[in-house]
Amino acid sequence: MKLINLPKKICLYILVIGILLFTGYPFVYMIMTSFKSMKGFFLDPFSLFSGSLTLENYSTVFDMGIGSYFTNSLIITVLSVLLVVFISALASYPLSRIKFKLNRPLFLLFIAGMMVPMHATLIPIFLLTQNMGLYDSLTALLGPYIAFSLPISIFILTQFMGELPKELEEAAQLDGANHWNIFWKILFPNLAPAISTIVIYNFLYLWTEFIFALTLITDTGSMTLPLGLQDFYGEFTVNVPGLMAALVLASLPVIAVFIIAQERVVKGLTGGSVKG
Amino acid sequence: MKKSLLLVCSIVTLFLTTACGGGAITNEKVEKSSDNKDDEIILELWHTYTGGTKLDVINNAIERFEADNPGVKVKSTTTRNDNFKQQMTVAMTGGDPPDVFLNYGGDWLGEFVDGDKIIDLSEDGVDTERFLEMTLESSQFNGGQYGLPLGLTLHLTFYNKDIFEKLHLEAPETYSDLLNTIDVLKENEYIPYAFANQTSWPGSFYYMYLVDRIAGEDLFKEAIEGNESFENEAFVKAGEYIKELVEADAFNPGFNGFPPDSGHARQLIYTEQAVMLMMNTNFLDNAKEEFSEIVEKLDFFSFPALEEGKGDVNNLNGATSPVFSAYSGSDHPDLAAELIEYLTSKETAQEWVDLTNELSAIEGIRTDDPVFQKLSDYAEKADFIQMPYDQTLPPSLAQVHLDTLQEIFGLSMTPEEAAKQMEVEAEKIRSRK
Amino acid sequence: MSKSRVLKQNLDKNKKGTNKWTILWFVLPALLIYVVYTLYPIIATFNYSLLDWNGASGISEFVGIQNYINLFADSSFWQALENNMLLVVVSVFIQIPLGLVMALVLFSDVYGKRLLNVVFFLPYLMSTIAIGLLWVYLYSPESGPINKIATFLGLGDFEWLGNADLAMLAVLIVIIWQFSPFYMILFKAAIVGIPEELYEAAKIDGASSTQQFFFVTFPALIPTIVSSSVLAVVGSLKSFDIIYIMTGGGPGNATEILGTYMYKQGFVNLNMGYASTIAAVMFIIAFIAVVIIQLIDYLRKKKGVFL
Repeated sequence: MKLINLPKKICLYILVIGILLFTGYPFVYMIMTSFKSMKGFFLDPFSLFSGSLTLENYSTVFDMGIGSYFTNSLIITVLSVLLVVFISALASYPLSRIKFKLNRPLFLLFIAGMMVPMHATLIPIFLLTQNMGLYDSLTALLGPYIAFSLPISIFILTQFMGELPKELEEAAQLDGANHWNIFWKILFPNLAPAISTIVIYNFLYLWTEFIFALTLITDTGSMTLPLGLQDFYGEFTVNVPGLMAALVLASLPVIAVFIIAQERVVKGLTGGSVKG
Repeated sequence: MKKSLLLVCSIVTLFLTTACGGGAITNEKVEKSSDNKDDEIILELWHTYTGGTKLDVINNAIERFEADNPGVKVKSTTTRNDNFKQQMTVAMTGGDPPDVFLNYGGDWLGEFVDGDKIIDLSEDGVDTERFLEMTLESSQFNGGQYGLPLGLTLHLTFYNKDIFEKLHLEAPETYSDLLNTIDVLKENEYIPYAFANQTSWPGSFYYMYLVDRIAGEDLFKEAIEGNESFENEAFVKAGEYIKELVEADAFNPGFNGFPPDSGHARQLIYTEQAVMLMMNTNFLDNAKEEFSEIVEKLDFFSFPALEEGKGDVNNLNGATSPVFSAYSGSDHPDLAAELIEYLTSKETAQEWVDLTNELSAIEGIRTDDPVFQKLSDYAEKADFIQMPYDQTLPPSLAQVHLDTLQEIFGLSMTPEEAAKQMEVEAEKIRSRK
Repeated sequence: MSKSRVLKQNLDKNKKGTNKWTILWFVLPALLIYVVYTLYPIIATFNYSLLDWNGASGISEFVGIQNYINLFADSSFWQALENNMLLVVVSVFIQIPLGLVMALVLFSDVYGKRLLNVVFFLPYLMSTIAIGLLWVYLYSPESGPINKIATFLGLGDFEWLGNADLAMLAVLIVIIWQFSPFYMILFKAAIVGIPEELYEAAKIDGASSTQQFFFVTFPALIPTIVSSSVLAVVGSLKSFDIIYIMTGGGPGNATEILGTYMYKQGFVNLNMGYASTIAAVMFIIAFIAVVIIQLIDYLRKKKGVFL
């Protein structure tokens, strides 16, 4: 899609700048707020550049021992995302590539999981976690995290796999390769764009997940980042600049994951065979 | 193909039965292995103080309790105010709430009392003598004492006395003084009241004072007990006064969209764009932390008298905060009750008063701080302190109160309509009981 | 043996002998976790929805479909449902197209694509807490940036979140802003998957860039549009966080949606049974909507419309 003539180009750039401001402004606002002192923020909460910028919020964030929250979040998020990618890819294979009677019902059963309002599941899952003896540990989150990431992941992967050309596995079937080999050696490498999407989606969801963590964890040592951020809230106040500093730091891993995942899409495609 | 269907089905049912069987609504406490190591007893305490002087007071009380009870550890967990009720509700319903938890008394606690989930401390022979009588009421149900208060916050109007002085204004004593003050402030391009009403409880302060000044303290009590209607003209009248204030531009624009905690209203006070703020006494503490320069310019007054009203001008609005209660299913009910005693002891109260300069619920605890002195004068003059409607009313009625009141402030509902909705919901609750 | 016979045999073998077991092994891990953590709560929710269950006292009583009868007579429920439907419509008809436009921009020849790629995505990676707090400030009637722009454009001052008539619009803008980048990623993944040969063939036929879009790109994106719609419908039906943080459903119940209404009933009013009923209804509505979308998609594939 090449845009050749000038008026079109101008329109394109107006559009680009419009979207750029719309999407970028609040993020820049967050960063600039994180460099304001409490007083500076109250004197002028709206400006991007106030007279005095300070690093004190960042030192507050480090002083309050955000490290352990950060580590906990990283462990549970990475572990859950890896398992979700593998488990959902496994399940999507028969759902999209093998015809059997239960295709549709099973698929619908799985994606029905997307429709459950999370708050409705809190009490059953609280009871379940207690009965399993996992309450108050980081492991308590693994089950709900995987379960609530699965439906959308299976949905995206099944749709994506269903669109891949049939010829991909035919040669392998000719050689009598079993399903595992077809799945793992032939299809899986071609899933890069879809996997990239679900990695980004799930990483973000789990990285900021609050409700399950609040319900299942009360021990400071097992708390994840979103729980730790509550320290910025007083009974009737919020330390806005401090919270923003913590959130700026918290967004770094997500940006990294996003960039890596997106790079992989491009790489996977130049080397892969999806282009068929 | 049939076999596979069968297999899938049987696995699904297998899991359902095990999962459901194990997860029925039960109050059995699940034993946690970590509780038992070294025969150490762990008491869980949940509260909402994330930092500052109040957390210090609580932690010091815990330390004293632990020192006097070797082998007992208190595990205290902090949750932000907003999320606290959700966390408590899930834990209560799931049958594993903390042994001791913070609350504000009122009907929310009463709901749990109805389910026999709270220890009646009066049965344990707890000494209630040391408390101010009226601070105990918010946690009294059916003759039992289901919690003990530590602090007492008042709802007052804080104002910038420098601006008042500059404009030759004085703290208004009557409602017409107040209206005049508002006019003068507006003429001088100040916002009279800073107001952040997204959660609607700040608006309730105005409403409660107005109802009290119009009809006196008994009307609300009678309405709760079903002897008076929520459509009583005093409730409607209070709404009319609010409408009048809004129409007179007494508040900053957009107030219904500002969450009270995120600081919009306080910002207007700090930067001296607005002059008055109706808040609880916590505000002084917040101001010290957020914008210390403003503190010396601040003073406060109670709600003025209403010329045609029946209410006593000395009546106040306030709340018992915090109150501590214990879970009846606790493995160590005696220790839980004892922890509450430590959390509300005279020593703890003295620290509370010294560090926060707010009132305590315990009699005779004083400090030299002038702000404390003034607060204490107000409290001593008051024969009655109205506890917040939204904590006193049954939860669903409290919600209707907050929602309809917010609409009165937004001028999108008439006071009559709001009163009618209150009475409809109240009637529903009465018929259920 | 001829090549095709071997292929057929192997395919047959795959179809018959090993199928049910292999299918099971592939699906089993997902199914196990799913049944325990998702299906069980769904069933429990439907079960609770038949109870008059006070969350605080724990006293519960079987009342059959009484909660459902009450719900359908509850005007707050209908108001919440109406707002939710608005949210669904906006998600499908504004978020998805905007996501597509953003993705297309990233495939056009503009400068700084790598930077744009990240910046366009930023709203989606910001945590909802930050979004809630910052946008409330951005919407501030007193010298907030949005009102400054509105005044500059001659539109005047607005109270946005404080005004019952504007609050929903204000919240919708934030939701569009937050979620469009997600659809952008979905579209990007789909666009890179379009075979280059198709464009080359189109170019040989002398297709303009607009024609290329309508005859090559767009048809190839239809499956993504369908799945995006499913995600948008489901996502907006059960949305909660951003509205809860920004307005709490207010002013009054101007921005109440099913998620916030359920939360209030369950955790504020402590009507657990009633809250479960709302959850059950949310589930049913979403399920029906998804089945309809899937059905339309199925018919489309069968008839070969577009593709």
